[in-house]
Amino acid sequence: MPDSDLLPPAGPEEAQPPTPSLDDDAYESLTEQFDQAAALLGLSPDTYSVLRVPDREYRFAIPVQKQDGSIEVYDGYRIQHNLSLGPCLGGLRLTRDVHRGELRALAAWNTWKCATIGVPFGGSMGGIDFDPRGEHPADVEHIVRRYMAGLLDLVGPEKDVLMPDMHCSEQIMAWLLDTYSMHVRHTENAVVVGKPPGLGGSYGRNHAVGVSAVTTLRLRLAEMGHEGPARVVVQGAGHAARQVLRQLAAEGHTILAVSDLHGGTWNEQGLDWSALEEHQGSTGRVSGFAGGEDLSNDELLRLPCDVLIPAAASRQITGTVAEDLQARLVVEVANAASTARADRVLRERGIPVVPDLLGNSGSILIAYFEWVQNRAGFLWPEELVDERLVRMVTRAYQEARAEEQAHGISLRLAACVMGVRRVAYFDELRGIYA
Amino acid sequence: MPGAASSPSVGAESNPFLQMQARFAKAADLLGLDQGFQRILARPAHELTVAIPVQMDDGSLRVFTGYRVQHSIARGPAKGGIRFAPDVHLDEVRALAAWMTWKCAVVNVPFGGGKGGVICDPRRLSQGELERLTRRYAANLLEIIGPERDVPAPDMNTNEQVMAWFMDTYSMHRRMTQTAIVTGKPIGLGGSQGRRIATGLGVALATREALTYVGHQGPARIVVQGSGNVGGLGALLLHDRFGHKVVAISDIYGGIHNEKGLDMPQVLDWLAEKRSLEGFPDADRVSNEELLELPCDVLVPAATENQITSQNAARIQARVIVEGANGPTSAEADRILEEKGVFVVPDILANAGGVTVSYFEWVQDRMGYFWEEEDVCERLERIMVKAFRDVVEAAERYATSPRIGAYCVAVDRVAYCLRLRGIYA
Repeated sequence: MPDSDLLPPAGPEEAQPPTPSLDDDAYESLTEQFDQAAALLGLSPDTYSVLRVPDREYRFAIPVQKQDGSIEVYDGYRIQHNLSLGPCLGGLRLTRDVHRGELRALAAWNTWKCATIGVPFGGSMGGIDFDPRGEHPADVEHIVRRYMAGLLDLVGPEKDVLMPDMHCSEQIMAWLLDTYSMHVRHTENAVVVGKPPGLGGSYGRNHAVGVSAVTTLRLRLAEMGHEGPARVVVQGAGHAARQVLRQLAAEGHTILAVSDLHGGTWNEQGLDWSALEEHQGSTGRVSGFAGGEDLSNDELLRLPCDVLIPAAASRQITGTVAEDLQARLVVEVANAASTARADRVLRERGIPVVPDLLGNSGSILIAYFEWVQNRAGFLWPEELVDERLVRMVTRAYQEARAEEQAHGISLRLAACVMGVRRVAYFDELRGIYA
Repeated sequence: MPGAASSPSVGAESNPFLQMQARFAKAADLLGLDQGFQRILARPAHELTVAIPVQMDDGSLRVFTGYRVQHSIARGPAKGGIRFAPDVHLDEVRALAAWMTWKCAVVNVPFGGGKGGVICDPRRLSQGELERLTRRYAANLLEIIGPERDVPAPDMNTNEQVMAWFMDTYSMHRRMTQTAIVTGKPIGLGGSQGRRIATGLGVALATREALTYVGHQGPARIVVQGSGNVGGLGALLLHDRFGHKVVAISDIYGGIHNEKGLDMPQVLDWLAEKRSLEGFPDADRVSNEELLELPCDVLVPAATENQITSQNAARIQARVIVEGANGPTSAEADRILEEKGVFVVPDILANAGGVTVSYFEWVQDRMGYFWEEEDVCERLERIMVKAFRDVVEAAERYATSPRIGAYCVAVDRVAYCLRLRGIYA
């Protein structure tokens, strides 16, 4: 499966895909993490069997009359993993390779993600086996609208909220919103998040992932006795990575190196992010930047630094990389950025890892905040969004640290345990009704 | 999830679903159906997979997997049964849903096709477990079913009681009694008169029409495979109401044969009492295989799929075959029978009496006024006769078999609706 986050940026109108693609092994590892958490919690076989499978999976045909007059039929999917804490929240990805198994794993992962961070949602995931890049905009519009029409009874602000994922632009989110609203005969902007400002979009949508990554970075470094600016290496220059870079720059950290699919750029004295962003905008890549020296992705991962932030694809920190890397801390922004072996190696080397569940939690939080603001019909000022982001990330981080110490487990497993425990608790409390 | 495993591998001739697809393709070809519409009709419109947690009697919890597939809703709400069986498979449910689309269109009732199933072994569930399973399954389907959207019915291992639970669950969630949500309900709870005999009567009517069409006069010698609601009641009606001679009938263990004709009321009484046809007086024992090859005017395969294949089609002696079961004849057998000049009334026409009376049940529930059994039978007759004529006309127009003729009628009717309605978001 291609990874969108390693592709050159598609243009400023594209909303960020919070969930980079995972390969088969990676989504199995998500399921394994749940199994480990379940075992550690001593989850009853009953609750385990309920949480192990999605509540509902919907697949439907999307017939469209294309601009050339032909009729094509695409497959649409929506998987709802857990409906017991509140509405589901999950991405929509548009790609020719929609894997049902992957959608299932990501839907479940979204459940734990929401629960870990304390957001009252379950997890879901959706997709269409259609890649909108290079397609006629009218065809894209018809397909997306028909997708929403097909889902009409299964989604909604109280049932399942869609967020952008692979190849979903703000325009696509707006079409989804409009189709839903036309069918229910009133504007209902809380059915999708990742909307443009003015249509219910929230402040902070372009740096929320950065806030979660940089806040956890700051908290962990402080515990390690490091105060003040850190020297940071970021792998990735896609939507999530750019949010991180923006936030690092805003908080005065030193950005040592940045890379994309084509390679990276590095400056021992620190890169000027705004100049680099401009360079990336005009050339479509970060290498060849006048304010830095080119280097490969492999070299980048092994640079001496305070913090390494993998924010591109899954499984970038392999066992070998883990043995060589020279960071004091790893903060994951890409989902499943480290392999299980890398986890073990880093643990042995005493290099702490802030897991994806916490590192990229900003994407879930900002989605939640957008939904809250839409329901209230009241827009929060940017400072308030930021303050609440920091507060919720900090609380989740501290709870996970306490869990980690109480059980003597990794922070990764601790974060997952927190999520699974909350969902299991509420599922058991609610019980089984027809 | 369980059930998402790959489909069971079956030889092409013994896979009724591949056979149905081949027949659809042939009809689409004869009709010159637009490629785009073929693409739409080649796959289900919607399919929902649900996890069904059930509190078992021993206090444990089990999570079952259930499906509901809606193949087409172009002509009206989806219609189709729900089966509870250990080997329920999504691919099979999809195929059966498509089958229902064609069946409803052949008899021209305003429904599309649907099908549902739960992977479970109902023989190993208590009544309480079965009830909780049914209710949770119904609750999980709530948003996609309804009298105007998708109307389930009994199928393998589901009965009046299951339909009553289903109806009750739907109604409790909707906060009003809504009987038209399922058909096959008990009388008095929105069920229709005539449902039990509906498929058998449809088969008998199709037999009558076919005999007239091929120019047969007077009583005919009839062989029936199967003695359930379709075969048994069909044979009884052919004997009692239409004055034909049923010379052989079978159950799963084998058949009985009497050249002079069997006394059908006595046969059914015997069967009800002894649970088997074995030992019925004044008749020879025949195996189910031999039975198919007996000399007769009409053969009614009303037991199970895939009975008449390239292996035995050449030895069939009947002049007319009326398919009471779904998919009893393979495509290879079709070709052999056609060469021999055997007139085959295809399943989607011959056994459509059941869905037609389901339609009547839905109509009666919607208006809240219930018909007498004679009204039901008379209306069923009108529909079956009309459908039979439509099918033979199409077969003549397209110079094809009645089976492909039936698919032409059905596909054309569905495509007509698709074309007129167009594609909207």
